[in-house]
Amino acid sequence: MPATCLQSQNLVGRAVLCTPNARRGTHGVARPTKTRGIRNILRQYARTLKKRMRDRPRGFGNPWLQLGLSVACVLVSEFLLKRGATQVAEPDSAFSWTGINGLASPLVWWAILLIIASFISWLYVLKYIPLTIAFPLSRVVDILVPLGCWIFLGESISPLRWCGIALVIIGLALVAKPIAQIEERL
Amino acid sequence: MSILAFFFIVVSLLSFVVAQLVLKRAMEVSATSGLRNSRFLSLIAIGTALMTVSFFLTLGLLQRFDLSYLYPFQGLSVIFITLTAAVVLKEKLSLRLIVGAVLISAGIVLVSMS
Repeated sequence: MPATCLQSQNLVGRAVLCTPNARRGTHGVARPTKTRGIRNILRQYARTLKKRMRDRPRGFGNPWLQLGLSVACVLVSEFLLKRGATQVAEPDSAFSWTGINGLASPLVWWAILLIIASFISWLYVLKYIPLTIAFPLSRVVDILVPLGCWIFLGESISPLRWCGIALVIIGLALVAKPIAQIEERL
Repeated sequence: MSILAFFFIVVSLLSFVVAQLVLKRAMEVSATSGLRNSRFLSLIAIGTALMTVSFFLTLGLLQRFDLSYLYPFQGLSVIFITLTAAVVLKEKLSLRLIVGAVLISAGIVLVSMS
């Protein structure tokens, strides 16, 4: 969705991109059934991650710090996009449904840079932290974005909308982990 | 919310989810047969194109609606993924996933009424 795609781009999307499945080719294990093979690969992958996590870099290279940075980048980019889109808004022209006129705003370009940055740090995070942990944690943005809309963008959010947002967040909290598991297999 | 807006919201989300799946597939192909083959390149191109489509549709929507209105709709992408997994991977949906999906849908209905 609007904010959506961007956001999922960073979370859902990145998640899919870098799942251990991509490494299937590197494990030449003969497997009797597809499921058992995938399970083996996941287990092996988890072991590798654990080892890497034990001697994880300190300071700026700390995966948890990078996870925070990635979330912060997504968050800020959402606000920049909204601001940029408002700046150049021409709701009357049908062409503006395509959003291409949004490129006229420098804020949109900054947002694009931030999205790329968050993507890079997310890939880095996935080198150390399993998707089933990193993905649910990264859903923090879902809470921060509506709060930020209210505080920074001054959007007036009706009680009905707050209820809707709350339901979506509870639903996401329930499915975040199972979804991450599905994506590791996809 | 107009039907047109809903249409664009769903198209933007769908193209996003499909782009992810295509890119994921591309990475799998690259793991087995390297980066320089036409299959990998075409998958990457399709994925990137879909990504771009969804990005610009989002920008178009942001010109018309509040961010706090549009943002909850991204929960739909999670539902799309669940459905894809159920269909493509023939997974049984757990109770947790179903309850979560129902809550997300209910929340989205409330948000679109606001």
